[in-house]
Amino acid sequence: MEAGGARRQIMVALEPSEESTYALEWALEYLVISPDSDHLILLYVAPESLHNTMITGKEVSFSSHVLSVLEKNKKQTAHRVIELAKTMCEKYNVTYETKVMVGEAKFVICDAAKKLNVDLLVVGGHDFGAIKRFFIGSNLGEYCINHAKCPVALVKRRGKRT
Amino acid sequence: MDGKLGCVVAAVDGGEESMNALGWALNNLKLRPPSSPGSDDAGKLVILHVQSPPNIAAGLNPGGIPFGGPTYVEVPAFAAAIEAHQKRISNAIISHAVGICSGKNVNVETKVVVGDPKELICEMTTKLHADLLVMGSHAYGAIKRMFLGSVSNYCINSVSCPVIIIKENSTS
Repeated sequence: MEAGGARRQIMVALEPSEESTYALEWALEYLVISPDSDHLILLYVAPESLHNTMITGKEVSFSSHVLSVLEKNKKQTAHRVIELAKTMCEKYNVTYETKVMVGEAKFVICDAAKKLNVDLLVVGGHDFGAIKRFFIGSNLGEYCINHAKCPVALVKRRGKRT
Repeated sequence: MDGKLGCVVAAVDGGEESMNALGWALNNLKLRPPSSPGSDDAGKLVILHVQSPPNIAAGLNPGGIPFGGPTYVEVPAFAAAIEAHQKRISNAIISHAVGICSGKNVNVETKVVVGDPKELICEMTTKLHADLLVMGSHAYGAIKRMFLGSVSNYCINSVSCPVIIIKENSTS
């Protein structure tokens, strides 16, 4: 971990959740060694269509007005999350780049991590109870750990367990 | 920039992946320096090896004579030989791990405990108040994982601190 080499590319998956914010903060505090040695890639994945945000996956049709309101809400959420992340990185004086992609988070994140050949992937932990896991399947952290090729840091908040 | 990590647990077993994970940890993590020279609050790396209990690992334990016959006592030499063998394996694993750490100027401790690996890794991580757990992953496919279970999958769901899983092909 000495200087004189290429910087580590650390990808942090951003989501509109407290877990994700905590994961970024923890990574900045404990993982990042110095601005010279590390570069952060902040990746925010927006859901593809509004239908994906529902657990049942049933097709629901909205009026166009409602659709545009939901779209705007999506954009505002993404903007809010990314701005917060940028502020945190700037506080630690770390260089970063932001990326916004569309799709299902776990696939997009692992794919991007592979394509960009990142050195480390940081993901917030979602603690699902047994029932939720039965329906949603593996959570993001588990999926990334099983499918990403690079080291994966799964950051959970202390004491937050189901 | 100074490191902040107080206690990092690196779980090792006889597999190359866990040693890779340890190597990754040494190259990528920075421990907390002591607050003043000589004080003992410096960050430490704990190399943890969980040794499987002899009767499970051996698989050959003949067990006691049923229907009221003598049990453990009747085959002391056999059981002792298995335990001694297990111990030799653990020692080899620990010294290999410590060898990887040599020359890196890291505050290292080692710990060997006997029992179920996935449960004990989680228990020890909590007991040691670890800030971070680092593990390798055997990278079993989905089917194998279903039958053999996965220590790393169990740990990421049970442990309360952050976990870093390193796959077999990344050491830098």
